[in-house]
Amino acid sequence: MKNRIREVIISLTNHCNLKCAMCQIPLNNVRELSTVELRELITDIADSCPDSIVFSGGEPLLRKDIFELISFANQLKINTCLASNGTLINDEVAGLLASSGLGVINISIEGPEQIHDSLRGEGNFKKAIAALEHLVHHKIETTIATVVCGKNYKFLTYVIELAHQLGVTTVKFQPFSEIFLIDKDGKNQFFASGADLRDIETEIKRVIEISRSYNIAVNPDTYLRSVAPYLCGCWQRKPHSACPGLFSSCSISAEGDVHICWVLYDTVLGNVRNKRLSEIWDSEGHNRLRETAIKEKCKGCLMSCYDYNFEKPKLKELFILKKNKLKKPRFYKRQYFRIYQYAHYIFKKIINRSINLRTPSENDTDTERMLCEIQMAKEILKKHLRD
Amino acid sequence: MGPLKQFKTNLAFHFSKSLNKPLIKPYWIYISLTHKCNFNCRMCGVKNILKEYELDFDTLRKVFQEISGWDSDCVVVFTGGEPFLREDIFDIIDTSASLGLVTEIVSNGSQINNMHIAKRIIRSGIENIAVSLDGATSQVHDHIRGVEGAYKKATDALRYLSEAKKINRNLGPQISAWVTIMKENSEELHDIIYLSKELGVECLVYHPVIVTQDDMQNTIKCGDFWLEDTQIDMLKDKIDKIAEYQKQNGLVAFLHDPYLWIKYFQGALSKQDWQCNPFVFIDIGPDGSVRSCGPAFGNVKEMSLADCLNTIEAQKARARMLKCNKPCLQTCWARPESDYLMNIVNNFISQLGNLKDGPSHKKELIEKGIGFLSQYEDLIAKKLQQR
Repeated sequence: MKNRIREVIISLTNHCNLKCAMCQIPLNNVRELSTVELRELITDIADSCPDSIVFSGGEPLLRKDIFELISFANQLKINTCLASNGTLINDEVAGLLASSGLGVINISIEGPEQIHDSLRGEGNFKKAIAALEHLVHHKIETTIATVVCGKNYKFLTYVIELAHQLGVTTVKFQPFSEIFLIDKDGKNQFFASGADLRDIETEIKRVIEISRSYNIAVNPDTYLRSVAPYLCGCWQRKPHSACPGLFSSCSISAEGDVHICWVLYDTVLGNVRNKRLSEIWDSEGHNRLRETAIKEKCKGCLMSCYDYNFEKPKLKELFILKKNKLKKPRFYKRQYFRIYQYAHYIFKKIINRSINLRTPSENDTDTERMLCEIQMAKEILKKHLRD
Repeated sequence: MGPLKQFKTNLAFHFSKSLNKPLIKPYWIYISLTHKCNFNCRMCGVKNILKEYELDFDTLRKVFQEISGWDSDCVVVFTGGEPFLREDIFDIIDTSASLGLVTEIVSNGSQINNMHIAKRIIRSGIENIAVSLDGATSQVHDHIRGVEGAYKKATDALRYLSEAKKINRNLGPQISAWVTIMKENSEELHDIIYLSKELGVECLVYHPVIVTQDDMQNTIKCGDFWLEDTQIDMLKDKIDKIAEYQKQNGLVAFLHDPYLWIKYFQGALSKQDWQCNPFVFIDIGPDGSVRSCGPAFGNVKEMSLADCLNTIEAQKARARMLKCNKPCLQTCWARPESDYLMNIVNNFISQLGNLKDGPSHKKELIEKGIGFLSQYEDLIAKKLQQR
């Protein structure tokens, strides 16, 4: 069976207004995909019934056409997700995002003001908080995203408390990964030592407890429990578990290169400027690369893109999660989008298979009307002939 | 063109459209010779799709030969990029003209910078040379074209051309100027008439801005170049003046009712005002891709032009064009005179009235006309039976 694309992550730009410690995306002058090319890409993606498109970056809000792209995807009934640092969101931008039909927005918060500003630059904590307030005010479904590293693991409960105060219903944790670092030697400062293992574990335990009492959705328990050993360097991927992300998602860089995943960044499948994404996705080369990636290249990561796979939530947790999600403003709309997309996809498949070619033509009444018109035209000419 | 032939052509376009089946070859064949351009026009999307390839001379010759074998009238228009940036441009023009094709060329004028080239163009056997002229002053034209000195180059080109034509005893192509109507030049629309008169232009064509071909269905009323609501009255005033001038002195060629521009810029143009006929126009890109509007449906490198028009993709593209309800007011896609059967018949009769031939000849023509109608009647009746 062919794999369906479920999530496409599009990096809209490499430019960013911040200089975060854990990210060194190089600012070489790439020719970014133009609005027209992105529209074509989104149209192409829409054909394969995805769950969502994630616009990321750099800072995607630096692109002028971001609202246009979101509303275009929205018109095609695709869920959109935006990953932003929040520094550019004022009341007006939040309003524009809401009116363009954005599904979910992720705002990065790394911990209390001091920690956040030390990682992301002075004054940015206040800006991010203001952004969260505006977004909640405009009823956009907002998620706080936190990169867990050796410097902020003590403040994870703080983030949950903050979310509760602001009225944000989801917090996503993701342990630090060195993929966006060029200087790979600098990565050690973000990991923790074996001595911290117990501290991290207790913090994570408290996070799970508190989030449940506040009804805030977080990553699955097993995933969170893996964070501590991962940061201390003693986590091992289960050898038999093939990453589901490889079969359901792909990422596209600012210049249009399609990557098998962010972690295996050097594996490029093709460029959307030369070839349609649907062709690249179904190509034999892609399948071959997936197999080699699973067998040889992939060392295992804890990217939150596939955290759902870590655990089938227990009934109680499922209930809490559902209750939370039901409360979210755009929940029903998004469910509708999903059902619509899937139905559209299945319908198209059936049509394509059963009728290879059917002219999208008029029905019989139209044909009869045309015949009538011809008759009338002939009458007029005949009348003229007699005169 | 005699009234009977016109009647036949109109009928063919009308029924092609209502049956979504190419019963006649397209009238406009735009060939984009290159995507290279030395200007940076604000409203042009070509710079975003800059691709290296150009259609080689042999493929072009093959296309010309095919077109010259068609029995219906058609016009070949060379566009770009800037067509004069191709080194073999005169070989191409000569080949096309020597095969008896009605050939036109659109340029920004930058390469027509001496008398020698102007003379060469005048004697090459083309029917029309169009130079884009977007403002009556260098500030406006240079601003729109994105290059300093663009105004001087364009006006010089027109001067050289008209002078060369005078030397050639007024034989040679019609020299025309094309004006793209947009916010930036809306105040100068009327002044351009006097400028072009002074430059020796023989035909002045106005056409409203579109953003890019791909974008057309989405950017109406939200593009950068759209007239603001406060400017609409001014536009109306300009149209009055231009229409008045046209009535007395000619020069301006209206491709459609100019008062439609007002509705167009208000975003209020509807299907009643303007309809698209997908069979009138095709565009061949520098990579050989053939399209009418939207995605390409064939490639002249792989198959003949006639085969391209019969592909499944072509049918789909045309069906989508018929559904499009954002009229773009570009003449190439429309053929207002063949939209309604009754109009076609009435036109035919009124043209017969103007004929000076005897009644027996007219009778013969009408009988032939009825014969055409009967042919289509049979065709449609057969189709109805098949269902």
